[in-house]
Amino acid sequence: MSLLALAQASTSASASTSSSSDTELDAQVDFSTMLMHRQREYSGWFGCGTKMQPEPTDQGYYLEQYVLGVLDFSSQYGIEYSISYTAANVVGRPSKFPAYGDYPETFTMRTYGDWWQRAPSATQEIQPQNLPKLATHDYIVVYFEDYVVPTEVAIFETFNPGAVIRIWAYGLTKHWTCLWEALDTDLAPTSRNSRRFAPPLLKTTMITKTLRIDFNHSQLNYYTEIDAIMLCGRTVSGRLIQSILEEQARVYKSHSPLSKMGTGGPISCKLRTLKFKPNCREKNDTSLHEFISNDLGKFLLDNRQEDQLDTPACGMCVTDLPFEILLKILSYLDLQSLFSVGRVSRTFYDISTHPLLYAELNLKPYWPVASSELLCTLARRATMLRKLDLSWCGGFNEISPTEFKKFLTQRGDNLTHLRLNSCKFLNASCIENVGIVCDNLIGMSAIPIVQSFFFNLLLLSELSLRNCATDPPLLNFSCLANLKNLERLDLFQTAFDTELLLSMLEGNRKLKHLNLAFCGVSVNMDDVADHLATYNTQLISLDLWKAHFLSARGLLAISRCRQLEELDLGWCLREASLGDGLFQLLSNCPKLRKLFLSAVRGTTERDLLHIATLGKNLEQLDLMGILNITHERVFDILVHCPKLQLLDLSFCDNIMERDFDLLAEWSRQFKVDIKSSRIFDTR
Amino acid sequence: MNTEKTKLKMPSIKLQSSDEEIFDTDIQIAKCSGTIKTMLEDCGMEDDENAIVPLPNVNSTILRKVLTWAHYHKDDPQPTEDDESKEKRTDDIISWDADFLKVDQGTLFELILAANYLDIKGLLELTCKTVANMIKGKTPEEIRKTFNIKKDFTPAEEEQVRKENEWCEEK
Repeated sequence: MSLLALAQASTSASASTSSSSDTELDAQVDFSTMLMHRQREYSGWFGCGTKMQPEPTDQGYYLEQYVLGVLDFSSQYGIEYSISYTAANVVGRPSKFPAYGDYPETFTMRTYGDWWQRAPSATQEIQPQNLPKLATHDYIVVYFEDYVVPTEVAIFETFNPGAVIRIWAYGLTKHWTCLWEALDTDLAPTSRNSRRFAPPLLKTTMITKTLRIDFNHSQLNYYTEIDAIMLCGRTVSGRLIQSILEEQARVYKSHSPLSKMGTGGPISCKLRTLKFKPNCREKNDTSLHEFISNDLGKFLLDNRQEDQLDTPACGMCVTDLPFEILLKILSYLDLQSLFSVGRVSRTFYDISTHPLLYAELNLKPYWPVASSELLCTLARRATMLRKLDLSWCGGFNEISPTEFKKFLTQRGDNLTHLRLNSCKFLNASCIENVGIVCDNLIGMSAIPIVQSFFFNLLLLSELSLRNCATDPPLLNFSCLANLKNLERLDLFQTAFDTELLLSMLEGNRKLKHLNLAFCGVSVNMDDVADHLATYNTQLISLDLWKAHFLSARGLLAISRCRQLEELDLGWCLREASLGDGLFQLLSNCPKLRKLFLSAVRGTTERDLLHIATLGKNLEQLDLMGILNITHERVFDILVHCPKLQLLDLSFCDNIMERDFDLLAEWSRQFKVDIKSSRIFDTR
Repeated sequence: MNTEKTKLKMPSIKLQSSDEEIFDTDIQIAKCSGTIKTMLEDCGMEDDENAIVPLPNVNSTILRKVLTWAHYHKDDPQPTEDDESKEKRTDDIISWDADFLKVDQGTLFELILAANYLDIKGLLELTCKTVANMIKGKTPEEIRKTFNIKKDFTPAEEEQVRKENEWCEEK
């Protein structure tokens, strides 16, 4: 529906009645500040009388604006309170563009290429048939100062461009619209130049000030860096915005006219399925009369023809197949197609709602449309639910904490996998009133909701709560202490209480994968490491990226987890001396395939020798920022680690400019992807 | 597996379709069918050159197709338990299989039934995926047209289903 048309159609939009009703849905609260602001503007312009209104001819003007604030992001390279490589760096004008290079003043995400998917900690997607061809790996949601009808979005990419795959806009009508989507052929690695990326957008009349950018890192040679995002378009008068909001409020109040239409008889149902819309806005009676006398016969004829469109019988019909085979066929469908099948006929409805088809649910790909209503429908169907991924869903209050709680209470009993990454509704009771113009998405009263969530999830073997709360830990998840069967716990970018974490480690002896990257300053990693060494010796992967308070003692404790295949110590330990921690680690954990020591500056030349002699199974090695490494040590490692595929040597200052050609040659010779700080890398 | 033995002797067996046509078939190929494999092993028919395996649920047209498919795929690796849970992809159909399945719907469905009855996992998956691809991304009306299905909802039922589908309908 055209918003502009809609707004023009609503005749009595008065700027003085914005507080329309106290029973308004929170929808209105979102915009109330903005509306009041506008109102003040108008009363200012027109001197006094609030009844005065600007002329409806107010056409707006072309506006280019940069990001005002970041609402959400899935990951960032830097730590939240740092100014380096964080999402907040996309705010404002470009600071580096058109320069090309690795600049801390930009927004950088945590991954690139497919290295993370090849690591031991990689996870399988739940219900993978739901994924689009180009899957989203990361995203950022940003907002701007003024509402516009978007005509251009420009993304300033200053390092390894080419990861942007979708641009979404959140409209005044509370729907996400995809303004642009990449084809898989667009993903080829681009040149090593900075880029002002402004793909042709969908022609639209929607009004927005909030964008979401989706990234796919699979083709990236190294981290991509985003300097700024610009939203261009025609501004919209406050009066228009208000009339749209009022119209929307009316739609809400009348409890959606669609549902009223729905109660009609067979003819109106037919009309609806044919999307029959007689244009009778002005003179209803005349138009309807005209339709009945002129077009009804033709309509009915068409209608009949359609029903008689029987293709010649061809032996068997699909419905002749046995139930279990139809079930198998439908098991290959994505959720949206599965729902479409349900509208075909009664038989298909019955099959398409079979609980077996809902044993594994992944709503992440449907984040723009996932709602409380959908959750409610799924709760009826998913009586055998085992795996659930609601990551990215429920932003802007589309899923209510109450509905989610109800869903988990009903269907959580057999759940083994639960992924709630970036689920803002986990603490949404407090942000309901904050709305889209506010970037403070973390509220205060989440605990009572969360506490009862997890009591019935005793079978859980995987729990992923990435990016769910920041420092200080607002969610204390204390009921999580009941879990006993966890094999994977992912708390990436989620602040957590140390005591709870320790008791969880003690309780979950089968733990294989633990991600505590960016888990905040409240967690003492040496204590965690001691617990791991005591209770979780089955551990296969451990991510402590940018974790605090890890010392050589902790490293020594970690080395007692002899099954370790993956260890990420990036930005831990920092300048601290490692003692013989790395030696112990390498000798005790011969299965180690991935070792990240980014900026672990205590790494000595001796440690590097140990890596070469003991790291027989190493595939990925990150030595970024380690100063003691020389090209001789690199050669040792290349010669002695036959399985090595990735070696990051960026910012290793003892590797001289003159060594780069040598490195490039070794990269080819040893078939190892070597990353270095030189920008014009040959690869 | 006694592949060594089969290679040396190249033994064949006789399969009989429902319309009583006899198909002389390499044992190795026939055994891609779990049903036939079990039958041979359980009844000790493996060494009997003249034994006839009756397949009363498969007619000669379909059996010929099934054997063509089995012949082409005889060297495929055995699917593991893991694969099933891992992959629900339907865009991985190789072009030979796609061409092989350019048949009318009736034949396709009969192939499904045969693959199910004969317990040929690969063929069952392939054919089911092919049908799934005929459904994917289509509107309910398009699906009805594709498979010639009549809508038999009462208005109230239809309204109920429409409501449940609101989240994925065009806005």
